Amino acid sequence: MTRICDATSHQLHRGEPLSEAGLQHLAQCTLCQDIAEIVAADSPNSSEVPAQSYDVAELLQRTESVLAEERGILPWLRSRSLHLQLALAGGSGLVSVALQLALAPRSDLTIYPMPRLALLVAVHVIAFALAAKAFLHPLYRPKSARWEAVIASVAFILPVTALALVPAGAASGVVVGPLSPLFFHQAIVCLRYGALLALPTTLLLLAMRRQLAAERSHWLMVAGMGGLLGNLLLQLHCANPEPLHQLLGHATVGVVLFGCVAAFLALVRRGNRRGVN
Amino acid sequence: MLAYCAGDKSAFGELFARYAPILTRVLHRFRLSHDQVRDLVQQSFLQLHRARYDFRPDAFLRPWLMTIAFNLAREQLRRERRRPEVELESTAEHRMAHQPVEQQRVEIRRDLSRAIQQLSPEQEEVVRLHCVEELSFDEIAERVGANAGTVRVRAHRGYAALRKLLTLRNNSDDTDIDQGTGS
Repeated sequence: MTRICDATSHQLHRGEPLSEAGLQHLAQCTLCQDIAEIVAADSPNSSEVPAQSYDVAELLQRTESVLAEERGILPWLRSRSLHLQLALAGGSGLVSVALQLALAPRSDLTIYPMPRLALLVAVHVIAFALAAKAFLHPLYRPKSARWEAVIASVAFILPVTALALVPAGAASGVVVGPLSPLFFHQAIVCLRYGALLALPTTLLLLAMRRQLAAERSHWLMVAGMGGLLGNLLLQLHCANPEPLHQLLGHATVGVVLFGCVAAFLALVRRGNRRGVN
Repeated sequence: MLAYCAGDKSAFGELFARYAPILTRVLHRFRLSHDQVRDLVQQSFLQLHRARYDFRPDAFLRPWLMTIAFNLAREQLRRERRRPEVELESTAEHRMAHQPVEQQRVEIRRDLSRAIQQLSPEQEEVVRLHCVEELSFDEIAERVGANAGTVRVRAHRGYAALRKLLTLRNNSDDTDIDQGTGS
């Protein structure tokens, strides 16, 4: 910490460009922020900084016109406190799970080992919670791109790695293997079911994010979270323990949602090019 | 800031007038174009607006806003590194941003030097060794005979005091209240 602080502060004094690590440090170190401000204040009227950059009134007017457009449900969601946003995301997922268990639980629930089910639910919930916290991470706190990339990867890989577990449960008659003519049909039915059920929570998360998801890791993260939720819902609904069915029909919910998220963001970007966001 | 959170729209203008020039000056040091800096300042205040209900009454607004601005600048620079933008017009500012580092070496200017002299002797010593001689905090600790933690505290207080002195010099009617109370 001290070494990066020394390096960053000296680079600021010299007016050198900062590395990615230096910028990350600057966002969280008040000492270096003071130095950055001192160095900048040292020559406020020099030729290095054009005079028109200080037209504060014009910039204020522009900013206020952008803020005036912050009306409606999306801006309302974006401006809720972080704790409320996390509660809304968690609540949305919880409602989906509760409805799933109440209306269409898996047929072999009575013979499925409960400790294993509890572990499955716990792992998914913890991964979802960590990913939600990272995705909604506010800009006023220091952030780490590397940590976000790790979370995004875990969110996608977890449903797939769960396949390595020995199949459990499965009442007679529900196992449809890859040689069965119904195999792909059933996989697609599960995939559609999981993606549709997880879509509202995925869109809610996207809507609450305060800045447009600019990095690919953000898209992956939100799609991965939808995939986690979809996979969990399917684990609570579908009793087919066949690993290939689980891979194609359950674990790939995140992939489908990634496509939905990308299409949604492309539409929003096209709208932004016409208006102001 | 608390007034703005409570719904006083006029408080936003006051916040903007107080902090936008500071952000503009600081962000210009990141070799960004004039338009990019203006957009980043605008986005910083937009993010401030969206995050206003997260602001705690006992928090300081300036580091909050600076962290937002620096995180946005990081993302902007990261995007540029992946997709470098080509300037259509060569402006003086664009040429300045690409001058060799040696030509842009920051020297202690007269006002900064005068401001440093107004610090306490211990703070002045630490800031001069750090700023002029570019010693690390460990080296400064060895030189002045104190531990590194004490040196960092003196540097922190010294730079905070310098910042206030220079801000007062640049904005003679700016009260520069850091705390989140008031506007």
